Amino acid sequence: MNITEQLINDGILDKEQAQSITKFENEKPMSVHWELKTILYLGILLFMSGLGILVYLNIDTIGHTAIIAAISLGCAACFYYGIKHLKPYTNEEVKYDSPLFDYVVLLGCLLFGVLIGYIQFQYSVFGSHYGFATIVPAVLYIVSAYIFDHKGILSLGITGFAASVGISVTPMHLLESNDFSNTDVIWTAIVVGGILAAFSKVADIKGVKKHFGFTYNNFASNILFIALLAGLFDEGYMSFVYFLLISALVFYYIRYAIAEKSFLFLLLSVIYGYIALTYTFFSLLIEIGNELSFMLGLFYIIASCAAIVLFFIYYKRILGIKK
Amino acid sequence: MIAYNKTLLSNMLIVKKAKQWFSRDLITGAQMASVLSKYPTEYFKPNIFIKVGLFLFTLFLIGAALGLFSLMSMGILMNSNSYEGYGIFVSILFGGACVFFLEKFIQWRNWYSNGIDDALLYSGLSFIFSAIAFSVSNNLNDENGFLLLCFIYLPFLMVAAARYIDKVVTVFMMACMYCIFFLVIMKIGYGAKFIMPFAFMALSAGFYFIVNKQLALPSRIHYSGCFKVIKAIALIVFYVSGNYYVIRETSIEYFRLELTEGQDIPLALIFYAFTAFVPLLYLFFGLRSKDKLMVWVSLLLIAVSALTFKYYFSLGHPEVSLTIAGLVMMALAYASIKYLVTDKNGITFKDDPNEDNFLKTNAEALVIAQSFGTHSQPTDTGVQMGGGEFGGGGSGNKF
Repeated sequence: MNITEQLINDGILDKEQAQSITKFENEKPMSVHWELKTILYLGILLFMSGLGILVYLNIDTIGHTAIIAAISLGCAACFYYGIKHLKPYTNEEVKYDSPLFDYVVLLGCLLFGVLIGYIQFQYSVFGSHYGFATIVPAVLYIVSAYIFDHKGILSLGITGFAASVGISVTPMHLLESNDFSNTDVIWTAIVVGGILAAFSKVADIKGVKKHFGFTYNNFASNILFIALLAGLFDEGYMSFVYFLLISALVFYYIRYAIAEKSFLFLLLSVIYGYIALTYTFFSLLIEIGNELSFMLGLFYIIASCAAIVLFFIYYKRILGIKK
Repeated sequence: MIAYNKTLLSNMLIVKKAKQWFSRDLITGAQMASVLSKYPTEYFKPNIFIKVGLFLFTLFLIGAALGLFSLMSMGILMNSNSYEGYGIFVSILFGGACVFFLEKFIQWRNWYSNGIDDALLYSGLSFIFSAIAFSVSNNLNDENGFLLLCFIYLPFLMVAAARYIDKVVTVFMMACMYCIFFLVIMKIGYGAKFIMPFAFMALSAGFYFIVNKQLALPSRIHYSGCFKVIKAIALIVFYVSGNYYVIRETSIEYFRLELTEGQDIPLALIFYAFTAFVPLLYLFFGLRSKDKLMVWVSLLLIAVSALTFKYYFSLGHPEVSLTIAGLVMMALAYASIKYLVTDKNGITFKDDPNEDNFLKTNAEALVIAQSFGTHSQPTDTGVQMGGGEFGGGGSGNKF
């Protein structure tokens, strides 16, 4: 099938246009934009890790003052570059033409984090208030994220903010580094997630940097759902409360997903909600605990999976959305 | 041959191209409108995340159905003494059911790639695989049994890849073919080790040239996704079959080559050169022929080659290697960006808005958070670090 020929036959294109289109298709340049950006980014990542290890290994010969001076200089240089090329702040998304801008600013922020960590490690300037050592860079990250309009730095800031109260929120560490059998941790996580979601909601209403909503809610929804599920699995007298909270959250994020057309949240809420429902159902089945309950469980899975598949197919009709 | 609605597939291609042309003012708005009305692409096309959800829950559904069926028919298994016979029966029943529903849904509902059809296809193929495995299970353990399994399974994979134009099935089809090829050459015995690398190279080169020809044919346009997969695999296997590390380690593993200290494999220099230059050649030809796929494969393989050389000629200072590698990558990327300020030889640094590219997504932000600041601070409540447990999770054991 040749597309231009087909279009000519169907009387949509004329010969001249077809020629110029064929010419364009043959001569259009190949874009290596994202490839080069990725290489640059990976290069920064490798360089930073290598440099970090190098410094760590040679700390005796270099001396702390020299290292701190070097890191500060690098950090200052990056921020100088960033501020020199800065465009005036608006509440809308700001795009920078230079491909380097994002990376230089990011490097500056990372260096600042390293600097604070280093000073704390070496001189214990914050004493045993470890939280301060993370909240200071986190505040700088979040402020920089808004000034430089940088989603990556915002992620760093949110991670730092959560870390300062003892919660690991990075996707891979959400489960392994948090001790969710501790009720305090569960409630801290719920508060952190709640603050993030609420802040994003307020910012959205006020129209401040709406495109940050995805980043905020991505962290918030995962923290909230996992903390609430952990609470549910704790089997306490609170189980019912957790179940209600999860249902409310599922409702909130399905509405958010539809409003923002961000279907990641639709998927997340359905999966987390399904886990909660299935867990509750099976707990009840085990309470009953006769021979039929296992078969009933299998029937439940078949029926519920079919229901969810149908929901995904017809969600527009079910939720009353028009195209 | 293709199960899906061909008009739909063609219309999708036409509309996609027309949109690209429209965004560059090559066709007028009126023409774009008539394209949209003349080539309807109305069908159930879920967002990628919903597709993932549909895929997962369809798999759960099939799993639960299998569980329920096994539970109810347990009595038959208890009474009969043929364990394999029961396995074959259930596999064929479920495989047949999956394929039946797949075909029927495509016919009734005009479905294409919405998660449910993928789930049905993969489960159907898995059931067919287990049916074959149960049939040859008596001699599965030796090479001949495995070869027989691959031989019987390959036609199913080929038909499935061609009929449902599926890329994942294409990957398995290629793996199956290479397995058969490897096992057949192993039958030669002593001579196998001398011809194995070159035979693999020849086979991959053959695949590459056949597929490249097919890709240029307008009549094969719906297969371009599958052909690209084959092309990428052929390029990678061609390189891997001459990679120094692979040659050396497989010679020791499969062909009982014994190397004393300071000894090297035969033809070592050739394989070193192969490891070093093939990725660079790929990069050169990829850029020259504006072949994105080849560029990506070459970038991947350059990293593999760097690791190969590092493995045998390590300086013993990984931090130095890391720093230098980072510097080199930064310098090369920066130099290329500066060089491409104006387009050179049909290559540009300008972002192509019409390109589908997964590097463009939000993934970057997550990678950043993942790579740095991964540790939470100890708090006053004495949170246990690192040893977090998650109580088994309610889902894992249930599905």
